[in-house]
Amino acid sequence: MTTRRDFLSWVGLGSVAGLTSAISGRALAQTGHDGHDMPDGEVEKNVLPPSNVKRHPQGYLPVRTLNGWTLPYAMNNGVKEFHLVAEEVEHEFAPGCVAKCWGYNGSTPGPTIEAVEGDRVRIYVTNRLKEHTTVHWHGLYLPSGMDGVGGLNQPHIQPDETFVYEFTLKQHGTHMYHPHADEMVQMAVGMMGLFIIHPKNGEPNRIDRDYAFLLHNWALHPGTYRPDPSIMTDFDLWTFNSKVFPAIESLVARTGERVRIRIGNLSMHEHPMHLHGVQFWVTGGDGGRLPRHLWRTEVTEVVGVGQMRDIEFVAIAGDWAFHCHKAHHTMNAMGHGVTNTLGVNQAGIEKTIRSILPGYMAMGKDGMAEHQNHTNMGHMQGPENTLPMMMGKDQFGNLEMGGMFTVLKVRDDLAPGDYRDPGFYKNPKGTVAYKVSTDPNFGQPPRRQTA
Amino acid sequence: MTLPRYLPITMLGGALLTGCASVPDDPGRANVSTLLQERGHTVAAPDDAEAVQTLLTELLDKPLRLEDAVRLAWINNPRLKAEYARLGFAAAEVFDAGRLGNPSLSARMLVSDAVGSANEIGFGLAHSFTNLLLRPARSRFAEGEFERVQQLVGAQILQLTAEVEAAHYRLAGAWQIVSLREAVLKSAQAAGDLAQRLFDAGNINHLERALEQAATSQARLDLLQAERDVKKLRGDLNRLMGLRATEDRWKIAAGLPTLLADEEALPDLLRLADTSRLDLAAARKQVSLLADALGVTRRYRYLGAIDVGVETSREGDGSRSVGPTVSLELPIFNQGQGRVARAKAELEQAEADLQSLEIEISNAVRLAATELAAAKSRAGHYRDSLIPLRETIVARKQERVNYMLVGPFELLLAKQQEYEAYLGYLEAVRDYWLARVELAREVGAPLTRSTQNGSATIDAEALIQPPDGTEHLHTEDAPMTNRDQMPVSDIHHGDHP
Repeated sequence: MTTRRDFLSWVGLGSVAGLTSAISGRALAQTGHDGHDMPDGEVEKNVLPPSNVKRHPQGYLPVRTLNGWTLPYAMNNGVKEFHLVAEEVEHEFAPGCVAKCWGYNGSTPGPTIEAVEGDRVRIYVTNRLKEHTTVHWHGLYLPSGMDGVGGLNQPHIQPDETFVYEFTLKQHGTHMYHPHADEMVQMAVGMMGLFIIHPKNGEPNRIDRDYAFLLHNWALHPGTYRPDPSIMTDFDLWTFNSKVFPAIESLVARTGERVRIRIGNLSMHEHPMHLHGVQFWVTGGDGGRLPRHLWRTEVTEVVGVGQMRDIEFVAIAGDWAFHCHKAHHTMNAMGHGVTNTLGVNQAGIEKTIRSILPGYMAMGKDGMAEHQNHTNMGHMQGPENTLPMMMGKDQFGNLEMGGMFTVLKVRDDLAPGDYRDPGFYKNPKGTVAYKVSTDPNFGQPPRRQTA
Repeated sequence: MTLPRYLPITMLGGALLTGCASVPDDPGRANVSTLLQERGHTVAAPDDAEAVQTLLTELLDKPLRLEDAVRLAWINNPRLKAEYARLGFAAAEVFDAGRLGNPSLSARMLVSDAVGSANEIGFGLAHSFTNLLLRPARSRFAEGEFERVQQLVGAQILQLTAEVEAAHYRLAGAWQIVSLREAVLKSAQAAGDLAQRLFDAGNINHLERALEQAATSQARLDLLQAERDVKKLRGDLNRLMGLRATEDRWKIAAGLPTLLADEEALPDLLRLADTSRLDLAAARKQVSLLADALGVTRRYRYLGAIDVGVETSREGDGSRSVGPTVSLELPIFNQGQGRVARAKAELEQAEADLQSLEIEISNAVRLAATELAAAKSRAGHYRDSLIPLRETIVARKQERVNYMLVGPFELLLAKQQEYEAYLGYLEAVRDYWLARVELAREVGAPLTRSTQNGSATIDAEALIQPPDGTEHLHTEDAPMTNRDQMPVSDIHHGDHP
C-alpha cells in the first residue's frame, strides 16, 4: 500500500519531500533498532544525506539484480501482470566464454519479479522451449494448483503454450522461481530467477542498497558451447547470476550506507559466503525478515541448496572481497585429478619434452600463481571458449580469482543511487601493508621447537 | 703316291676344317644385356676385375640408393656368374651343333695264308650323311635353345633384381621404423623420468611410478625389436649384393619415395607382361622349338643312319682298289614312331606348360596390382585421415595442459599415439613400394612411373620434427627473457646407416 508520505517521497517534491522522507526514514530506522544488540564499533549515525534514491511508488527501494534486470509489470484492474517467456538464450559467462543456455525473457537468470506483500499477481508463462515446462514459486504461500510442480499441481506447459498463474502474495521475503518439469536439466542449463516481495509496512531499517543474486554451477566442458546437464558434481563454472569473475558486477556503496545482500542457492552444493571488512547480520531469507533477537552476526554464512539468505551491514570504506569460501569455487575451469607437480623438479625433462612438444611448459612446481602471468600475456593458448582458471587484476597486481568472487567497493564520496564502478580504492596514507626487506633471512622469527 | 690320289682326302679334310672357330669367350652375354636393355635395365657391368673394384668402392662410399644396390648386385652377386655359366653350356651346344660330325678312319691289315700273297692293307674314310643332312636343323635347334637359355638367364637376373629392390625397400622401411620407435621411446622415457621426479618429490606412489615406467620399458622393447629387424634386413641385402660380412660398410639412403599420383592400368600391365616376361618368351620359344623338332622328326622318321665314305685297299696280289662306300639303315622294324610320339608328347607338355605359365602370370599380375592398390589406399588413409587427427589431438591436449585441465602424461601419450600413426603410415608406404617391386617382377619389366616423383622422399625424421614453437616461454632452466622465439632444441638422431 502506498502511503501519502511515500508517494511524496517518490515524486521528489523538493525540500518538503526531503524533510518528509528524512522524518520517515528516521522514524523507520528507530523502530527496528535495539541499541545494545549492535556489534562493537558500530554507531548509529544519521549523518547520511537525505536519500533521494528513486523508490517505487509503493515505497520500496527496488533491488539491484547483479548483472541482471527486473521484470516490468502492467497493472490490470489492481492486479500486477507479469509475462515470463521460457526460451533458449545465448549467454556470456565472461568475455571469451559463451554458451547456449535456457532462461527467461532472453537472459539467465530470468528477470527478477518484484512485488509487495499483499499484491495480487498474475504471471503469464509462455513456453518457447521444445519440451514442456512449468514454473514453481519457491517458498511462496499460494493455492496448491499454483505451486507449479508439473503433473502434481498442474498439467505441463507444452511447447508454444502459455499458462497463467495467479495468486495473492501473503508474505514478504527473498524468494525465487524455477522450473519443476525436467527440473534437473532445465535448471542445469540456467532456468531460474529471483522473486522479491517487499514488506507491506515498509522496511524497519532503512536500506540504502539492496543487492540480489542467485548462486549456480555449470558443467561447461572446455571447448564446448553448451552446458552438460548430466554432470552432478564436477562442475567447471560457479556463478553469481550466471556470471563468473571477472564479469560479476561489483557491489558499490557509500560509507555508512546500510547494505542488504540477498543470496539464493539453486546449485548442487552449499556455499559459505564470506564478506571481508565487515561483520554482517543475517536478517532473513525465504521466511521473510527475522526478529531482531534471531539475527546472527557472521563473516561467513552458509547458504544451503534451495535456501535464501538476507544479510545486512553498514558499509565501511575500502575494497572488500565477497566470495564463496570454497577455494575451488573461486576458480574458473581447472581439471580434477590433474598430475600434482607441486615441488617436482622438472629441470632437464622439460627441455626434453619441449623437443618433442614445443609448446610444453612445466607448471606448478612452486604453486599455480605463475599461471595467470602466462595467460595474462596471452601466450598460452587454451581450448576455445574456455576461461583461464585465474583471472582479474587490480591496482596491486593479479587477483588470481574466478567463479564466485566479486568486490564490494565502498567509497566516502559515492552518491546515493550511483551504481557506477568507482575504480581503485585510494588507501589512506599509512594503511597499506608495505615491504621492509627482500632478504629471506631478515629478522629472527621464532620457530616451533620440536623437543 | 701322286697328288691327285690324295686330293679327295685333302679336299674333304679342307672342307671339314673350314669354319672351325673356337667357342667365343663371351657366349651370349651381350645378348642378355640387350634383352635387359629392351626391358629398361642398363646393365653396364664392367668386365675386368679392376673396374669392378673401382665401381665397388664408389658405390660403397655414399648412401646406397635403390639403383646403386641393384648395380652392386649385378656386378658382385656370384649367382649371376652361375647364370652366365649356363650360357656357356648352351653356347657349347651351339658350337657342337654347328660342327660337322667327325669322319671315321678305318684301317685293316689282313694276313693271307696263301703262298706268295702280300698282306691286304686297306683304309677307309666314312662320314655320316645323316649328320650332314640334319646339320642345319641341329644348328637351328641349338641356336634356338641358346636364345631360350639367354632368355631364362635374363629372367633370373630380373628375379634377382626384384629381390634386391625388395630387400632395399624392406631395409629402408625398417630404418624408418627404428627412427620412429626411438621417438616413441624418447617420449615414453620423458614420461618415465617425470614419473620418477614426481615419486622423488613424494607426489605419486610406487604403483603409479611402476605403471609409467612399465610403459617406458615396453617402448624400449619395441625399439630393440625394430633394431634387430634392421640388422637382419641389412644382412639380407648384404648377401644379395654379393658382399661378405666383413665388407658390410655401406649405408643405405634414408627415406622412402613418396606415393605416385596414379598407377598403371591393369590392361596395360597385362599387355606389358605378355610382351616382357622373359620366362614367358622362353616358354614360347620352347614350344616353337619343339614344334620345329616334331616337324623334323616326322619328316626324317624313316631316315636311319646313313654313312658314306671312300675306301681303298691294296689287295693281296698287289693290286689297288678304291671306291665309295655307303651304309644304309633300313627302317624295317622301326620307322621312328617312338621318336615321333616322344617329340609329340614333349610338344604337348611344353604347350601345356606355356598355357599354365600364361594363366599364372595373368593372375599374378592382377593380384600384385590389387595388393598395390590396397597398400596405396592404406597409406593414403593414414596420410589424409589418421595422421591429421592425431596431430589435432596433440595440439588440443596441449591447450588443455596449458590451462591445467589435464596433466603432462596424457599429452605425452597423445604424442606417442601420433608417432604410432606415423609408423603405420611408413609401413604402408613401404608395403606400397614392395607391392610395386612385386608388380614389376610379375610384369617382367620395370614400371617407368616408379621414378616419376624424382627424389621426393618421405622421411621419419621429417615427420618427427615438431612444428616451431612460436610462443615466448620461460623454462625451469632459464628465467623469463624477452626472446621472441624459443629455439627448437636439437633432435638427437641415432647412427644413420
